[in-house]
Amino acid sequence: MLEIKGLQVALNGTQILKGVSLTVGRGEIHSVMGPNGSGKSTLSKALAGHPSLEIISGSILFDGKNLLEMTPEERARAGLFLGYQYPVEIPGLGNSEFLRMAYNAKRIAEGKEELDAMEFEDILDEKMGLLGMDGKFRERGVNEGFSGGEKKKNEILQMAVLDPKLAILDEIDSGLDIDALRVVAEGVNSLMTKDKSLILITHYQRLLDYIRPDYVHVLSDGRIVKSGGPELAHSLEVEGYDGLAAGAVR
Amino acid sequence: MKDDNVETGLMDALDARREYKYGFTTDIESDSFAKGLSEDVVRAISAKKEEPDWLLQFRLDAYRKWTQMPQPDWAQLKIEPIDFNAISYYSSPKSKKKLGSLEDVPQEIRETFDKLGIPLEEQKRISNVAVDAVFDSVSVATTHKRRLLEAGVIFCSISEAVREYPELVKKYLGSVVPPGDNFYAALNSAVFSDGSFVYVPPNTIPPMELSTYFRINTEGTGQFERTLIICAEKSQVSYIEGCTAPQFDTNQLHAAIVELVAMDDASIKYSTVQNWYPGDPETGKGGIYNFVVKRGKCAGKNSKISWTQIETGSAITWKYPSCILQGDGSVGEFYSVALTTGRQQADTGTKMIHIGKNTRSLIIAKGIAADRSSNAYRGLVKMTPGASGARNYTQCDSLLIGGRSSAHTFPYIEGGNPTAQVEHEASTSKINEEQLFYLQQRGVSREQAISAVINGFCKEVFNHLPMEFSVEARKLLSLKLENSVA
Amino acid sequence: MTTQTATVPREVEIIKSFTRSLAGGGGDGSLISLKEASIKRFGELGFPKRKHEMFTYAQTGELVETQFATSLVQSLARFAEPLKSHILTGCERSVVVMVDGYFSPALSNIAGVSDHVVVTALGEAAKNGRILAMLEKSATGETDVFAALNGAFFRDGVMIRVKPGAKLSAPLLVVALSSGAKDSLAASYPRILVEAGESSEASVIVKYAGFGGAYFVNAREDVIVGDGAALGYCVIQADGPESWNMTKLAVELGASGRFNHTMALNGGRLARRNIEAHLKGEGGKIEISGASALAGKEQSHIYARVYHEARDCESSQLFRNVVTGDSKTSVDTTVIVGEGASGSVSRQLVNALILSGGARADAKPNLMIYNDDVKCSHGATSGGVNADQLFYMTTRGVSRRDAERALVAAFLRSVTALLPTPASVEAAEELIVRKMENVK
Repeated sequence: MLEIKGLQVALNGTQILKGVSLTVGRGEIHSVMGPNGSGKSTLSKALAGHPSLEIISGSILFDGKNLLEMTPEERARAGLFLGYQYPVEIPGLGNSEFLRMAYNAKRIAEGKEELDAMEFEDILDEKMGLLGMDGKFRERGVNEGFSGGEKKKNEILQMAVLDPKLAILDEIDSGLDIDALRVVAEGVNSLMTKDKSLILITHYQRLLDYIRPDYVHVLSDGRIVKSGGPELAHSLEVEGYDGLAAGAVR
Repeated sequence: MKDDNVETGLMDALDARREYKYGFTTDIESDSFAKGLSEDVVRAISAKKEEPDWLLQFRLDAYRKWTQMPQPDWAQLKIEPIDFNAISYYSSPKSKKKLGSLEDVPQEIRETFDKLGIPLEEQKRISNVAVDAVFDSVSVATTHKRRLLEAGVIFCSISEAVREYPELVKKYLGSVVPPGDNFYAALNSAVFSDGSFVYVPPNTIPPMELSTYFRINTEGTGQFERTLIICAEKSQVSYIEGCTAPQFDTNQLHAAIVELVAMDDASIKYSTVQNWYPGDPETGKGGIYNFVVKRGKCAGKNSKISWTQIETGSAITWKYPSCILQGDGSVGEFYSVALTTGRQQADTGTKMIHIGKNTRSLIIAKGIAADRSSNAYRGLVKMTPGASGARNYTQCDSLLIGGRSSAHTFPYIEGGNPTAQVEHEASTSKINEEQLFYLQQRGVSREQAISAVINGFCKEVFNHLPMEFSVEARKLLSLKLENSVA
Repeated sequence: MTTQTATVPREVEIIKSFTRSLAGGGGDGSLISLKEASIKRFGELGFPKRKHEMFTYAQTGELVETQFATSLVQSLARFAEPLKSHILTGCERSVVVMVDGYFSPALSNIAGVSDHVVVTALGEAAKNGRILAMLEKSATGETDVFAALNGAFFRDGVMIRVKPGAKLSAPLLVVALSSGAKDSLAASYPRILVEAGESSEASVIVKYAGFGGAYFVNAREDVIVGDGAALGYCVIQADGPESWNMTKLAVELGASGRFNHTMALNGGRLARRNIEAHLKGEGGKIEISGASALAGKEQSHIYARVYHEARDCESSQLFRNVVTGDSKTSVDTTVIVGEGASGSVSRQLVNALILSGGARADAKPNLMIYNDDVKCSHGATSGGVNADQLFYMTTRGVSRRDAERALVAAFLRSVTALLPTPASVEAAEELIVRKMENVK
């Protein structure tokens, strides 16, 4: 599904990613963990196609297509979804109006007809119900005045509406209390099917108790320094990132 | 400030005081023109300085333009009309009476020196006290100049530069502030006395900061000072103007021009701490009018010009250090603290003109108005139609102390390009009583608390001053505030 | 349109035409002294020459040189049909109509609010000494030359008085309709005086619109908000791109008064609005918000002065402008806090979206503070749509173009949503939000 090879990325003249390689197969759940400054958010921005990044070298293939040559909207329509750590607020643009725009953009890309407001509302209602979200979110501006937890739920709602092939969730657990975390995790789990893939970018291992990864990778100083199964997350919890780095040096 | 200017000025003032205090007058041998300005005076100035014809023509052209211009009228400033015919436009500093010892320097000035922590030897030098061999400012200055020349850096007076490096002066003089630009630019271009000339060749970083302290000055600098700094490709220079010592001058009008030119990948940092005599704190009379045109041209790609100023003196301050961001990727910065006390009036700010692509400007301006002073920020950020990808961020804040001062903010934000972004924010309030109370509760006196809070308010600007200067500037601010916070 | 001959200054020509108009009977006699004071003031002020502080960004040269005939309303009949489309839902029985600057009782209908509101011709109202004195004082002290022109040439205006303690159930709509003609340019001078009695609660909507061609409307709105009164005051400026619109709003706010002023502006060949607000009573609160969206060569300018003259008053201003094509907008707004106005709080925010290479947006939010016990802040931004918001939307598959359109609409809606009634919000949406959708 996703093949990243030797990705080197710079931001504002400073190199952050120094050769990241990662392969994610269909139906797999991967977790990328790392301390602050390791390059986690740069990795997710690179996958989304943020204009401020400079791709020094490397390649990313998504479903066999060259992702680096695709604009952000092309990547989204091809089935890639990025859930942001800090979702931006767009006051004045109604949440449901925005979701309908995104949904219809995808339908057109798939050669289908757009849905009108009424038809879309039914779909939105269903998805909001799955996530236990209050109807009042519909008319509010996108993320406007939302709490941290509400913003994250809104990201998952978008994921539910857009039904991507590959979702990359950047620190979806940050700023959430136990209850919110559980709701978000359950929402994510309910959306995962055998042919959908997921990359969880996270700092803490806590999230992984709720969404069980198949593979865990450790990102440190712009490189993946260790990969393993779910038990790797537990060792991290015990040894910390420093312990792991010490281990890597040995 | 410039050595000779300080000495001449201080001498005049000291003598005036001596006259008042001790009841007798002293004669100073002087060589000055009679008052008044005319084309003949301009010619005489040029002749006196033995200038080449091209420079005489430059002056005459400026003078002619000046006669056609009306005096500027800024609604905010209350100025007595200036009588341009009551000023003498040339005065030689040949004769400087030396004082016998530091005791001859008035108490008030000595106290200020002490509070500012200015070392004894420097006090002597600034007050033109007969100096023993221990500290010889002339030899120190000579050493610096030699070190700079070894690195290829030219640092001398404008008059010397006209003689030694005329092609450079001719090429750049008036290229950033054309004589016809405004009233005071025209006046200065006609009658400028002297100032600094700096040329940094490509790929060079001077071994030290350039300070007007150490410029050898054979000609008088007076009130119409002219500075020209050129920084060639991939070079850097940091220039410091002014000092925290109080500057007295019987000449009331100071109309200077500073021009900076930065080529590709060059960077110029210009720092000013200015403490001109502000006039009688009750009446405001006798203070200096400080009208300066300072402008930098970021001519080259990725060039950078950064202005930092701490303004605490003058009766009237009127200056807008500006940047013309012509080269693609060029950067302009302006950091300013303007403190007004007594009856001072300040109208200061900056102009950032974005012309090239992907240019950036940053403006941080802090104004503090105490007593019955008036403090205005006036700024222009202009995005011309070609300025794609430009970015500006401006933050100007004003603090009012005591109920009778006034603070004003006049930003002009002109947007003409869809990909250029301007972001401006400003606030005005009085000093935060809660912060003061918190400090006082920890045993700090109210005076010190106010000083601390204001230092915090100005911190961002102080951080951009060269280190030693920054320490002096903080002290200066505290000193000035001491008298204002009852 | 004739061009003027070089020798006689425009001011002199205009003063002559004033004298002629008075000779021909200049409307209600009680207003003559006011008009004479205004023309005198006009002569003192003169049209702006280069670099005039009140017209920094609004170039009035072309307007000043244009010869306009004064509108004389012959028949009301031709206004009846165009009027219909401008009467907002819910205001059918609370509408005051002015046609080419003349108050038309025949076309007005205030049956729905007649218990709470008294509507009279201004000449009639000026028979009251207090009202006349107030009008004359504003005439002699006028600082805006175009407002002085209105003071001299208005025919008869309308006074709307909300009774003390009244609470209006429906908003009162004032439609100022101007007629244009293909072969001539006419100028009209609507004049509106609104007085909200003490402790009253009301909402007034003023709509400027026209038909039949281009015209020049030079209007004056005086608003007095009594102690403890709350007045919502909305202006929808819906003139066409070829017309000229100059308006001045002078508002006085009493103690604990509330004045909420919203605007939806369509611009014009030159459209400029001068807002002069005096917060005279303690604890008064004023909110001003305006949005404009311009295309082609349209212009819309705001010049505002808010004076905090009493303690503990609060003012906040929000201006959001979108410029496309070769249009120009400017906002020159100053908050002046006087020496006695301790406890003043003020905010100003000016945001502009510049969407084309030829468009221009200027902002000048100024502060003049003479008292230290204040909290005053302002901000201004200009540029294209927010890059982070745009990126976010594209990563959800929305095309850049659609995303930009949606963001422009959201930007304008943040202000149009503040208009007092659903009908007025809809009118504003139609006027400026949908206008932008059609532009790109």
